[in-house]
Amino acid sequence: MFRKVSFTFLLALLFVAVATAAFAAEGTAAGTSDSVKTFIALAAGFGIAIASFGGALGQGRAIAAGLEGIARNPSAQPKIFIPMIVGLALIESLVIYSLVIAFILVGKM
Amino acid sequence: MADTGAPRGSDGASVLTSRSLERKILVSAGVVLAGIAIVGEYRMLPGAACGAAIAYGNFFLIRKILGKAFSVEGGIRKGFVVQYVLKFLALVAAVYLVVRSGRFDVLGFLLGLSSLFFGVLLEGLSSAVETK
Repeated sequence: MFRKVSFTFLLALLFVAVATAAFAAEGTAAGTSDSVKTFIALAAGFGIAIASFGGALGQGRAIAAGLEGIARNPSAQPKIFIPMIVGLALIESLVIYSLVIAFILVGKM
Repeated sequence: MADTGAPRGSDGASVLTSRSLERKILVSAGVVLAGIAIVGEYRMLPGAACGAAIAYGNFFLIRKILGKAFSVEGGIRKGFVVQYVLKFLALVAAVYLVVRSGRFDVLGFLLGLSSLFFGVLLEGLSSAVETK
């Protein structure tokens, strides 16, 4: 399973690298600003994609662990619940950071 | 989800409560704003205040929504997913408006948004000192 996922990821990465090179070559022909815009768009897209992927993974793990703990020991709910909320808020804030950076990058296009 | 506000658990160790954490977030937001004012970067103040308000509001709404969802005995209240998604969309819209409007300094906004992290750090440090 992990092999398949990593293979697919590497394939996607290779595809993007090839596409980037192609876009860069086109940009050189048309002018520098076009290639810069391409890289800005790529950076914004990849940045928010990686951030949301990591954030979703982290939030999913946090909620799963918290709910499992509460289900196993319901009396421990107050001790588990607040740190879980804090963790969710922190993860969400990190994703919002990258969203802000992505907005800034898109604004530069 | 009853928040008793009790600072200590049965084992004597300090317990993290949402109310004290919210207080710490507000304190850290005040410290961030005061720091910016002391440095003299007044143009960053509105952005920082906006970021701090968004960070505090986000934490407050997460606590409210999840607190209501888990308040039902032996189950989870329906509809909390919708509320959570709506909150997230509102958060994204607010961030979009703040960043793209150009009226707020983005660095100040990020500093204000960081008051959540500073609040958590403050809470952790204060609880560590209390435990000792």
